[in-house]
Amino acid sequence: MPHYFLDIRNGNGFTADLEGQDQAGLAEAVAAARTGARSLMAADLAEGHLDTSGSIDVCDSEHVLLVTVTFAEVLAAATLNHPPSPPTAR
Amino acid sequence: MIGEALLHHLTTFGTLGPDDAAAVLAIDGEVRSYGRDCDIIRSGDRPTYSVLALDGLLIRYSPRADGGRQVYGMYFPTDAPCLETLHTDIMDHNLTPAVETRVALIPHAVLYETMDRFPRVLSLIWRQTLVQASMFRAWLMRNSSQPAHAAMAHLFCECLRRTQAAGLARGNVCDLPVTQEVLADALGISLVHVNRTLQILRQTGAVSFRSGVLEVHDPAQLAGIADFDPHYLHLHR
Repeated sequence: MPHYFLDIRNGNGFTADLEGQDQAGLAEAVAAARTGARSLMAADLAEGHLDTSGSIDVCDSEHVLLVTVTFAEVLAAATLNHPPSPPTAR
Repeated sequence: MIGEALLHHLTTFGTLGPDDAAAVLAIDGEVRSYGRDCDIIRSGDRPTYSVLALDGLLIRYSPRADGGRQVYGMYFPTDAPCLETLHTDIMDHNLTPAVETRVALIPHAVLYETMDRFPRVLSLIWRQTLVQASMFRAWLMRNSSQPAHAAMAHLFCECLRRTQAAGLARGNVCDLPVTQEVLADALGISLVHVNRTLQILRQTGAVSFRSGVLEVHDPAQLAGIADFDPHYLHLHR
């Protein structure tokens, strides 16, 4: 399986992924980055703050940047995927 | 070798008289090697043996519906992670090596016979399985109530304390041959979050974890971050 590195950029600075991870392909690596972005923001929220300006760089085994997943787009996708609210009773 | 390792493990939790110790030393089994992630026992199996780690590292886990897994425990050399199979018919989780690991498979029949003849051995094996339950409670509490950096610090404190008790640590340094993925599965957080959390802990100066080696630079500071109290391990050394 191909190996990917997921480097983090957010308010805490740059966190290089020193170990990396095997994923079936780029789509799976991007999915891992999206999950990771959400888990980082969830941890921040639990402590009472939220930084949506961060991003995760998905790099290949040579540490060449392939895709950048921003925290904001992950949140926007979550909002768009939210099911419609039921009608409000009057 | 097998009896010696089992005696070493059991006496981590209590004491045995000379006759009891001799009986445990006489226990034997079959030595096998397993590669990383090659399950030794799977959920649904009905094992007729218990497993003793001789080197490497074992983990207990269950697969999750999302394709991940929840790791319940880590087992160092001389640990016996599934003595409860002496009294449970069917496995409800999996036991697998985190790295290439040699294990001893000890037939239940051999253990039953020893326990029948030596009640203090029976009592100590019972105690060991109760300590496993205590550790599961601690892991549940850690994962459900602590932020990621404190939870990871707690896990590291536990690993160091247990390897020290087993005589495996080199001062405040121990082998912890797991990937970040295993840490993620143990703590219930994402791999990205593990990476970030490792950096946070590294920045405190209390601990570093790299290439399967855990080095605790300041045990008191790490225990403070983790709110770690080792009494749940019920160690006698």
